[in-house]
Amino acid sequence: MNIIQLIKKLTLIDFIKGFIVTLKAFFRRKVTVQYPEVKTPLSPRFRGKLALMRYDNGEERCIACKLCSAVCPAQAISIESEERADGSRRTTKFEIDAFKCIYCGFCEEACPVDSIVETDIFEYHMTENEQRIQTKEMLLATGDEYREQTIENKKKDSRYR
Amino acid sequence: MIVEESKKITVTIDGVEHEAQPGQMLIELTDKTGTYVPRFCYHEKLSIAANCRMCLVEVENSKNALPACATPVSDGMVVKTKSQSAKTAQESTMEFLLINHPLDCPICDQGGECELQDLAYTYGKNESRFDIQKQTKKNDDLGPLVSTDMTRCIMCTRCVRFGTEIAGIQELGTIGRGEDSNISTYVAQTVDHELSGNIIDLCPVGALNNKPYRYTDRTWELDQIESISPHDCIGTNIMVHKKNDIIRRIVPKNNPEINETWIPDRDRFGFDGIYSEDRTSDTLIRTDQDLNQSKLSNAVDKTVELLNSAKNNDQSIGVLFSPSISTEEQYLLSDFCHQIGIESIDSRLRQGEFSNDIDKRFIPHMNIRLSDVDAMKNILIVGSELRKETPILAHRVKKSAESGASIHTINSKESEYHFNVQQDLSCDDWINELGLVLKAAIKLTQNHLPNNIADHLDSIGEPTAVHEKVAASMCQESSLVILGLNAYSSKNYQLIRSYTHILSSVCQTNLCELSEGSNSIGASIHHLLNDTAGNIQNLSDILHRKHDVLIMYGIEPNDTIYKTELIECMRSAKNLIVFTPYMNEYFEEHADIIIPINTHYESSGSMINLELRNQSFNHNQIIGSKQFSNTEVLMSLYMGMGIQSYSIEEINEFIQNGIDVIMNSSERISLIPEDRESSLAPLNQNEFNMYNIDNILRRSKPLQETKEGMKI
Ligand code: SF4
Ligand code: SF4
Ligand code: SF4
Ligand code: FES
Repeated sequence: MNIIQLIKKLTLIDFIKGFIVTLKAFFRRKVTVQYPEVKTPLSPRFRGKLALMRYDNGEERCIACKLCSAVCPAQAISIESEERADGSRRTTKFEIDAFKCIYCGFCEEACPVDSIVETDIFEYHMTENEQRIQTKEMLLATGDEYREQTIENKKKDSRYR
Repeated sequence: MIVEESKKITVTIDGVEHEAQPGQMLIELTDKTGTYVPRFCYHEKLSIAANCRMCLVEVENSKNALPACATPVSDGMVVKTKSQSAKTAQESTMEFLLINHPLDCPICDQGGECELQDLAYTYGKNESRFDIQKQTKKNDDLGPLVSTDMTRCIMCTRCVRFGTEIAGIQELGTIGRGEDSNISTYVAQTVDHELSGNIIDLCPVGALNNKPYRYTDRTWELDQIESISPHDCIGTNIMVHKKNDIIRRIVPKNNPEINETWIPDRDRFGFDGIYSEDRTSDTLIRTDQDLNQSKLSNAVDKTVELLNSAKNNDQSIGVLFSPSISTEEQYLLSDFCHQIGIESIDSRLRQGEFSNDIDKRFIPHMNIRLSDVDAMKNILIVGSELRKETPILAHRVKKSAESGASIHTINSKESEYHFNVQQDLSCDDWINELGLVLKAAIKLTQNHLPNNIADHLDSIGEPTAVHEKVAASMCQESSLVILGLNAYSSKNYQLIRSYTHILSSVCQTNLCELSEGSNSIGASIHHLLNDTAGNIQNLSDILHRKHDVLIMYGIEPNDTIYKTELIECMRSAKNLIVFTPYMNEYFEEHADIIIPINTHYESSGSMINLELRNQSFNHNQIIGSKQFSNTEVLMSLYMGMGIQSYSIEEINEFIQNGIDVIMNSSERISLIPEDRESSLAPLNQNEFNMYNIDNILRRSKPLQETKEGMKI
């Protein structure tokens, strides 16, 4: 043990250096948040839970063109369709397997009538395996529930499209 | 067109020299040499209209671009299909076409298989320069088979030309000019031609589409299986489109030797019948008056038990099976019966009169190829409503008529034809008329005939000029006699058949005998090979006996012209065992064992068409009513009985042998049958309904909504 080491030991210089780092961090701006009480801001482009939208008059937008299911790289969407009594083309079954979906957003890009959209909801869970299948009713309900904020988000992003 | 070698000319297409035949249109040459020229109105099988202008190409020394579909080739022609000026012309045409075309692709059933969509992708501009309102058009109701969205029509007039040239009836026509022109059915009559569904395939856009299929699937979701249609003896080639192993639609498969690109409506829409509510998937056994569910093995054991006890006690067993199932099934069933000694087995449910000695040696078939019919010069149609019985053959006859053949008909009533009939001898006494034609032919050819024929002909009167004319025409080269299903179901069938055969050998014509179902020839193969002809009993014997065990395989009372007799026979049978895909009231009342089987669209095997072409099909993937295949069910019977069955390979060999036997016998019937009182009275034999001939068609909803279907 030489003399320098001895002095370092006695004056606790390394400790002090370490505390200075802590002290600096203590006064620095915080980046962590207290999730879930506090949340980080999201980009309007955030791709979260899928939803089906309606027109203002309550009519579902989807016309069963099946372009979303054609483009989906994960093959998560399955659709059956038929002619509705009023002669329009509608889906009888619209299901998305939430476990297959990779949230790529291609379906939204492909949709000619802005029916399928990705909301910015990322906090959702399921307790049973079967619940991973999002049925048409569930998707429309999601669309209804988050209608305002989704439209708002799409508006904000429309400048860049 | 026959062109001598030296007359060949050279045409340069995109810098490559090609040999061409004078008179050929440019587009035929480019198609042959594999240079793609875009087109809408041109269709190989239709006349040239040259009204869409999509096929414009640059031709050297011509000021304007020329339509390839209407420009005949000439020697030394230099054509550029991809030059700037050709491209500009094509792009401008596309721009004009899209002015009034709706932005319907997402809800249009044609999307994904649309010629306009494909070409717009290549030749269209990204933006539209037109900001005016698009035109819309009124839709006509074209009946239950074809849906219309006339706003999508690009006025190529393929459908109109189909109507006049192929269907022979102008059901669709153009009205108005220029921007106001419309495709319309005159007086909104529904399209009820037997081939009308083909306009669906012809229409390059989504204006005319498949109505039952409307708004259901996208082309990219479908898988296709090549197959054969089971609704007539033609063996029409089809493509079965399925999704999730359920049939969604059927489209034609191009086979120039059989159906070209056409299929009759019943082949296109008939499959719907397999999804009827009448389908049964439960094995049922009657205990205490009620049909109760059971396992297949129990039903098989019970069947075997019944058969054994009936056999040991020398009681009567009858077997009736469908003429429209695969040859393999028919062979297995026939051989099963043969091995355990059942002699009463038949599948000729619509034959009007029976006489075993004649029937089993001369199997109704056609001695030329279907495609040869186009080139016939003289055709006599005997006892047939050809358009309803075999639409494809009728189309072939129409083609020959258009190239100048003389067509004559003899039938119990006049039927509507879409070609010119020169002599129509149809009347109530039509059989006699046929006899007189034969008599005239014999006079003409100065043939010597056995006495019994001469005696018989003496008694039927003298031929007139009309008969002589028909006879003279038949005695020329390239002539064909067609014996139809109306004759087949007539109670004088044997006499008509003898007349036709003798006429055919006297005049040395070709002979085409239509047969019921899709595979009557297959049904006869077991008898042919095992020479059981002598001791096999026929339908008439079977129906007139009280059976201890009656087996019905794949048929129901409506399939036969002896409906009342069959129902009576089912009622009186002590034990009725049915193998059926469908339930009906008669089975519910009388059957003791019901074993579900698959329909044609869920099984596999092969069928032999009227020109003895053996074609196979495989629908095993299609979800059926039960988990066992039909052959497995039959095999379980063999096992229950403790007898050996042939393997499928061996059976295939037998089938081939059978076909060879029929093909090699060019013999014709040469005797007139004795007058016998027929003990069976055929039901409504004049009521041939083309949508009521088998159990599948009878249950197809779209077909039953057509005019013809409503008549049932
Ligand atoms: S986001 Fe992507 S993976 Fe998910 S459903 Fe849409 S296309 Fe499919
Ligand atoms: S016809 Fe073709 S181009 Fe027109 S809407 Fe239908 S798919 Fe689109
Ligand atoms: S309906 Fe179809 S086939 Fe007929 S003219 Fe229009 S585009 Fe052509
Ligand atoms: S294809 Fe030549 S003008 Fe229509």
